[in-house]
Amino acid sequence: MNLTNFTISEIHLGLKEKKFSARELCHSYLTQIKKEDKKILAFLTVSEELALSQAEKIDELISKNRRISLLAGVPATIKDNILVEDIICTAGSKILENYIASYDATVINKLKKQGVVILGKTNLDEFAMGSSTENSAFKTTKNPLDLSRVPGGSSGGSTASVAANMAVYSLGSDTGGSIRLPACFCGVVGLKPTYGAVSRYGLISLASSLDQIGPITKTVEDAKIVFDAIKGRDEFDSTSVEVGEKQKMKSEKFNFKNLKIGIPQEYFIKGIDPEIEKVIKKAIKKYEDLGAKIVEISLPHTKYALPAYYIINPSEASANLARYDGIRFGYSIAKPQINTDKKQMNTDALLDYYLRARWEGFGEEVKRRIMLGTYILSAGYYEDYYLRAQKVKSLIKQDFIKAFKKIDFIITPVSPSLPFKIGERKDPLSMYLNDIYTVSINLAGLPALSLPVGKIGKLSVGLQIIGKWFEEDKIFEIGKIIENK
Amino acid sequence: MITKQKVQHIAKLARLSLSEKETKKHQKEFSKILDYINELKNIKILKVDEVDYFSSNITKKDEVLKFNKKLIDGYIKVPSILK
Repeated sequence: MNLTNFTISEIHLGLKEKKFSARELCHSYLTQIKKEDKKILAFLTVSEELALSQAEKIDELISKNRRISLLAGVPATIKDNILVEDIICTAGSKILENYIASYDATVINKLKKQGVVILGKTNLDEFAMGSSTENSAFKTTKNPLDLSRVPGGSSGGSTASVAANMAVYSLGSDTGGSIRLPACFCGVVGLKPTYGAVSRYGLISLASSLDQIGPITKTVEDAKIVFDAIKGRDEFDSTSVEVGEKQKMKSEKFNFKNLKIGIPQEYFIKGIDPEIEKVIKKAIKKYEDLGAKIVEISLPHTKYALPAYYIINPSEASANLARYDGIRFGYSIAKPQINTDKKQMNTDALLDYYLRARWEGFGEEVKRRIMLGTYILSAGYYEDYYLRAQKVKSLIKQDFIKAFKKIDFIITPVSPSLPFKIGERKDPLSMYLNDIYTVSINLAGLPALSLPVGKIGKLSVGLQIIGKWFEEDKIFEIGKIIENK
Repeated sequence: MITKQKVQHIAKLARLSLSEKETKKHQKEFSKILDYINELKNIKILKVDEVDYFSSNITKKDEVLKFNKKLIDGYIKVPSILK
């Protein structure tokens, strides 16, 4: 029996009715990984021992007829910038190649309480900086839909592992589209939650005012189950909040007669692949046929989102990455120059050590952003760049607040182009432009779902459903209606 | 275009050493990216409300006091580390 194609609810039922054991399920996935990952290259670490021991615990509970939670025994992968105690966590960087996590991230803690089976850690662009997973220091993950193409990034290993049936779900992180873009490219579901809905404790920071952890799954229902398990206030992250009762979705279904869906005019201009536009328009038509009212809206500051993002992101990244000095966190340079002359043993020697360790340990894109961030934050430029970008961030948020007074949801494409060929985009700026539809959402702190809604040849097209702050549950409902239709 | 000296200065501030080749590369790419983000200078910002974050402080006073029970005038007494 092939066990690697179930949803979370199907697995839960299967385990309860003893159609298969958690160990058998775990084995199926480990076999699938051994077979498939040779060509996909989604994993940085396969944690076989941990997975099997976690599965056995669940089988023990079942044999004692104990109640198990919905996620118990369900095999998952974790993006390699989220800490799992005692497992190597590299963030896709050489500078952390030997770093073993000393504690569990809050999201991992929560999943462990639910009985998660962790199959391994997945590949990413170094420190989540990238849109293709090509910036990993270790390997380039392939898109399971077409092996010559990128899986998207930065959570490309996570989305590829789910798309190739090597995991039921995965956790990724999204700073400017890093869950939604690879979900779109690999044809799976990905949610970027509202900023603050999920604790960031134990996530290796990129840009702290934008980062969020979220689920990557095959179905919307699964995304909801995983999101419900990881969300909530955490005393270790002061930006996290309890998603209140008020925001909870009432069980009654939507009345499509009253539903208004906004289509931002700024998102359908030149630059979008006309075939993608066609698929997205078809999806919009489906909502219209169901009775929703389609309203054209304007988000006038859209064109400033990307430049603002590429100010805020490198600035915060350069500060966050200052801690990797080649002394803490494992990495040390190959041959430190030991100078026996006592006069030379001064601060210069230490400075040289930092310079060399960081030069050896960081990849090209990381250095580029550290440099950019350092420049932007340096004296004389702070007001022109960072402060200005923060103001633009506010203006972008205001655009959404105004829009949401008239409508309930916003629908856009996730990506202006189909997955590109590996090695095709060499210019950093052309890579940045691929985030055009996703970065505004992070700047505004909004929740958004990436949902596959059509195919062009072998490749998948993703629809982005943006909801109001903390209304993830409504986004799920809207997504379910169009899923598989 | 940004000067070579400027690139080297920023690299030093960022605690990165760059090879000659990398310096040249950064010089070129940097200028392109800066041109792009300079687009923000074209936007007229009249009045903007502060960016609001959904954040709230967490104080762990009790935990600190658990380990340092000596309080003098509201300050916590700790062993001296400088002589």
